Amino acid sequence: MVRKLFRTLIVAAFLAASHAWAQGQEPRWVELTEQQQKVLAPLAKEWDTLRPWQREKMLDIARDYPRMNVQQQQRVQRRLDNWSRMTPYERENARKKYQQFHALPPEKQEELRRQWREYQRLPESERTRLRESRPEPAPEDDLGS
Amino acid sequence: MTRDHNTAKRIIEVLEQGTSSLDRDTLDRLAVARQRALSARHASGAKAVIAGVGHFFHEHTHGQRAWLSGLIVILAALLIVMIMQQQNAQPPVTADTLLLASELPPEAYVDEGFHAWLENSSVL
Repeated sequence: MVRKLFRTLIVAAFLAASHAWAQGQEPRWVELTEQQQKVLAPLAKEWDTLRPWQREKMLDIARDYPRMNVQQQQRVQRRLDNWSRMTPYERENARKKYQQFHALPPEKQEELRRQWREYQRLPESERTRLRESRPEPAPEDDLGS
Repeated sequence: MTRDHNTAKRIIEVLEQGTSSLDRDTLDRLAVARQRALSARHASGAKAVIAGVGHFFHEHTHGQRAWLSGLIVILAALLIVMIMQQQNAQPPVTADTLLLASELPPEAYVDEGFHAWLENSSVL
């Protein structure tokens, strides 16, 4: 009788744990709203493999999406896939650098944008050479300093 | 006032004379009815509050009633506005959204080659 009760308790605990685990994994792609799926379309294939906190961040972006202008919406959609593939370290680093960029005077921001466009025009071999010239990532380096 | 009192006293005397002549059965039924009436009165607190409000409105002047009604309407309107504001309040746009929507792509912030390029640049 006691063993039967004990077995029932173990089964119940297992069911509760798997339910909690399933809750943590939600929402799955098919459970997203039409609007969320539209915004997060670039992530459709990999959505179900994303970590719960990544999904949460992406859902925040989908929530903010209607408040952006068309140009910003296009940028977001274009960059989502790459953003989701970045490591947590890279994303955190990008957030810090973005804060620094945002704090710069407008003319310096414009100069950085011009520099980026120019850098993009360099041959890939040259960009690789530049990357290799800085072997150690330095997250604390100030942007444009 | 004295005349009113005397009239009331006289009515009570007449009624008491009337009740003294009632038979036992009628008196018992009256006592039961009185108990029921008292129980019903004590049963409902809400009714007492409503009665109190009614009494207030009955007792106070038209000016005071209008003032109080106005105050209640204003408080109700304020409450509705507060509830609506709370429902419409949107959380601020997240840092990730701002970053993704900005003119520089996220790669620009983490590309070590770009940082080396900036260091070599004479402009910055």
